[in-house]
Amino acid sequence: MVNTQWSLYSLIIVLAAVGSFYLWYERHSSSPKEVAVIATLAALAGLSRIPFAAVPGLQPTTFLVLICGYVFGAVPGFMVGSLAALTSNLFLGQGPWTPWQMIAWGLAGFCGGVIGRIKGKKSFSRWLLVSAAFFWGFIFGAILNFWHWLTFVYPLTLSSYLAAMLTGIWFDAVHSVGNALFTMLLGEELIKLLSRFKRRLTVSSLPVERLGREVIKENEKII
Amino acid sequence: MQSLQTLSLCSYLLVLFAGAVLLTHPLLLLVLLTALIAALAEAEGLKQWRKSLKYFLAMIMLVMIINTLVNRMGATVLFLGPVLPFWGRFAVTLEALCFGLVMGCRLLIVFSAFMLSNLVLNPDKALFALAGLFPRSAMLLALTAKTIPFLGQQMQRAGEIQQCRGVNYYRGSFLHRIKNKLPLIKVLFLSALEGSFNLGESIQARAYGSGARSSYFHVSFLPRDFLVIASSLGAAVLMLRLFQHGEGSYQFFPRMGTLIISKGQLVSAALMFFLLLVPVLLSRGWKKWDYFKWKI
Amino acid sequence: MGLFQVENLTYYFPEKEAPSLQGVSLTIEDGEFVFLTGHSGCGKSSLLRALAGLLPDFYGGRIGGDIRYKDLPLTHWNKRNLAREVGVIFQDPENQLVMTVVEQEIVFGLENLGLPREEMRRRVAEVLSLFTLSSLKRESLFNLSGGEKQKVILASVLAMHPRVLLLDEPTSQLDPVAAQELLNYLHRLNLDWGMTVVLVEQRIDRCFHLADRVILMEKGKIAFEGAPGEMVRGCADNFSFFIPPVAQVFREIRNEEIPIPLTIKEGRGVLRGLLASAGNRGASPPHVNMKNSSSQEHLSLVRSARQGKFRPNISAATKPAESPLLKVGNLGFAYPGNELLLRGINLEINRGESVAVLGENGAGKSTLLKLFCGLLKPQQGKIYWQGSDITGQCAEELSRMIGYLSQNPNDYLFNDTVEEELGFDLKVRGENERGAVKRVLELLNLSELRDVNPRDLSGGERQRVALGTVLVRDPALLLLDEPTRGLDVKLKHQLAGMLKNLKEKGKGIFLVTHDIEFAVEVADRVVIISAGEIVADGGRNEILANSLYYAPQVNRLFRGVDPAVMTVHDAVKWLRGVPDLQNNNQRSKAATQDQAATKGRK
Repeated sequence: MVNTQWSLYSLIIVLAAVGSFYLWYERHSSSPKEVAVIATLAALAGLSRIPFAAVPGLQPTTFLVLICGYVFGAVPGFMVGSLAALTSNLFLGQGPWTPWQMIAWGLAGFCGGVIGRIKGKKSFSRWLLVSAAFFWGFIFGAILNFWHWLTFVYPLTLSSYLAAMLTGIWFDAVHSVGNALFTMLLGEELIKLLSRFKRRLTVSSLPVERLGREVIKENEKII
Repeated sequence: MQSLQTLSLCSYLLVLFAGAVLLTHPLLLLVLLTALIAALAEAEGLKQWRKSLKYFLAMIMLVMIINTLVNRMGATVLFLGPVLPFWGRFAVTLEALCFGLVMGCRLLIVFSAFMLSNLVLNPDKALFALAGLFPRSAMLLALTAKTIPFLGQQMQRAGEIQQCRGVNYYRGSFLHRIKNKLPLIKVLFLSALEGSFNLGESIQARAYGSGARSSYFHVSFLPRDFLVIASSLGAAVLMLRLFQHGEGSYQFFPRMGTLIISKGQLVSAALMFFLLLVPVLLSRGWKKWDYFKWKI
Repeated sequence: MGLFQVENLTYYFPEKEAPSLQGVSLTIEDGEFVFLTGHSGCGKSSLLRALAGLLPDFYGGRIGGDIRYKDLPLTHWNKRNLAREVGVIFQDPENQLVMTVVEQEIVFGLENLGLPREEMRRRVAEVLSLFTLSSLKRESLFNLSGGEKQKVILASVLAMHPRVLLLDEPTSQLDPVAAQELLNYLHRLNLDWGMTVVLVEQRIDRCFHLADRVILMEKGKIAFEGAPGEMVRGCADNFSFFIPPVAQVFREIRNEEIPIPLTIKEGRGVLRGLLASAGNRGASPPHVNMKNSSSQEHLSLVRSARQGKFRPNISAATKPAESPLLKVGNLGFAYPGNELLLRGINLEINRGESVAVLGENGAGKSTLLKLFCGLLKPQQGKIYWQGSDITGQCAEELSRMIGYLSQNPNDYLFNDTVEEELGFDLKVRGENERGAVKRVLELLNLSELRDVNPRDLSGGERQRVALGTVLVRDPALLLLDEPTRGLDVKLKHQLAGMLKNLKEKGKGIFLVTHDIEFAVEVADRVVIISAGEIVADGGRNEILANSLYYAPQVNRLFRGVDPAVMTVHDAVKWLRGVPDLQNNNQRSKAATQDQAATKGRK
């Protein structure tokens, strides 16, 4: 007998994972400013799924999500990635792939956030980012193929999974190489741009009276 | 069919989807497929379905090929190939071929079910159904969904400006072309993020984040919704029974078994077919008789 | 006791050294209509945001002083209660919309307030009828026009039943018709509901007379404060941009006894009085140094307007012998799957000529510009550049000759400094940029800002940088799409000066605009497009004078008196030509009476 329930279980697990993340997010209130910025970034990442270049499989979504996570942190990164998947599918068509895309891109954003946290030389973290971008192309493919394999392929062995992966290997390769290229060529500039906005997101306010004193203090330091 | 509530539509679609995933019996899959095609026809999506059939077919072919190649559990060998390194003997069996065919059929059902859902589910209504459970996320989702088309427009405009400034996206080497996208991406990000600050101000000024939200849109269930939910539940119960009794699947390996295992199976299949047709019949009824539309 | 009390408010934006607001004190009474104006960057938007409680809460920065609403400091107000009391509307409707459907958008604020469903239903129904939006209730917001979107936002804010409406240039992205509609609503809300309104707006002639009080700001301080009637006489000369053109005309006469009108209606009354008394006294004809104009024409109110023939501002442009810069023959265009949007367009644009295109929204004006610069390809007809066929050439190739400036300067700016931004256009082509960039920086007064990030600039400055990116290529023809959108009066005037300068250097200028005052200032020739066809093409005065819809304000003032008077400058010159206008008591008395009569009829 063919074991078909695994496919259903896997879907339930993924949905529960995404759902619990969102529930967690619900409980952590965020400011209107943050809401607007996350929604905008997610919209940008989702929009970029519309083919950018004439090569099939090449789209900068994964790269953008990674960078957003890198600059804004793991949780916003996850939100941007998963929202981008869900909302862009409103236009491109929902399918059994939606929850898998949500978790794959969400995790990409999360991963970006983790890399952003790693202290170290700037060049090292950039190098890490490029390699993460490269591997996420394949990881993304692996996650998305997983359900497909679980549902439509029998027997469920490693070799059959690899065979299923193999059918999409071209797209995954383009995706990976594209990600790495995007990160190398455009990453630096985009990080700079987003960091500028992040600063504006987190500015604090001071009463003017106190300010006078602090400026004086700073001047004293300079002297 | 669009007049149904999100919950009732979802339960119907979920049963169809779960059926395709759980069942492997060709007869039962045929029941699902027929019901789906009827529903698609009722939702005026048959034309679109036929158009996208060729993409489905490509996917189905792929599934068939993979299954035929990786599966070596069949007994009736049709073709015996050479011994391949790491792989062993290359063989195509009748059973694997049939199994691939059935898997392709399941794939078709899954795709068609989602096509139906894209046709009949109103994303806004679905969002409000979600808002009860995830109010903040639902709002974030709405905001993102609203922003995408506006950004699309902006991208078009900014792209035109780049063209006027002499940037060519279509010439030069591949790397060059990617680099030429940078100005466009930067313009888009800068403008969108600047806009997002205004958006934040606007939602703050309209009291967003000032406490618990209430909900304006509410779900009012009509008899039709209860009918659809009940029939979907019925179909689900039948499906589970079949699954538990092992009558939901079909024996492919090592040799194909008989198609109809028991009389009960046949009756269940017929009953399931009828239950799955309930929304279609209802929809027909509303179109034909006003009385039906007003009462149910 | 006022509704709002601001005392000694000082505010610095984060990372800025110059204060945005500096010791501002003011009181706003309940039910007052306050018109807040000033140059861009004068701090009026900051003040508005401070009143809304968004400063420094939203932007951060440094703040001093005190803002009280209903005698309680704003910082002590809970967010929900404050949002209930104070509604805010911003410039760009697209950056305020949250939802996808009209009804959802309207209900957004109510849901945030946590109102019960029954209450929401009633309020939604009410605002839908108030703004005649009922038919659009289920419409997708994406498909609405800018004016409709802004109306939906106004409805969404009003559904929350605020006592105060704060508006930051709500019409700057709208066309004149939609802008007028929105302002009418504000006027009605103030009159009929006693809503307190604080309005920041650039369309001075449209809202000046609606206000109870005008507050003029300059460099973060209040430069003038008073009733509109006081402002027209009392404000300093360098602020005379901020009073309506009609008032400017009579202010310039500098006669204390002649009342300064605020509207065309009042203005015509005053003018009629002036002329009647001049005529009664059998005064000698005004010695206006304008050709073809007889005194009788000036003085006669009843004579047919068509006889006025003088054209003060038209440069005597002799037709150049060379072939026109751009010539289109029988041009037709349709977007895929649609009917022809433009048909049978025949046009010529010459060197040193500036042409303004007027027409309704959706008439095809912007599309025409895109056809000229190669972004769209025509389905019918040909386009010639100095005699050679350029139909179907792409935008990159044409951009050396034809410079196109779109409506939104933000679509241009992405480099780190203004200098790089301007250099980009040449760098892309692999050219040496130094000399050209320097020249354009000087031409557009941007030299001081060369090292600033363009995204840190104000709207007017961004506009200039965007124009700079076009000029740096030194194109012979400039195509401008709504260049005055979002600019204040002073900046418009500066832009007009720059364009005139370019025209004198021999460039052709072709601009699409809704701003008739600007068209009058810049254009020699006017083309009117309606429903995809050219319905008028000719000299500026010929087309605009006595036009019902497209006549500039000053021309409407002089309708039936002298149709050739188009600008404030013309009008002042004309009035100075009326014999001994100064120190004539009898006449000004008559004028006062006349105006009183006009007011009485109101």
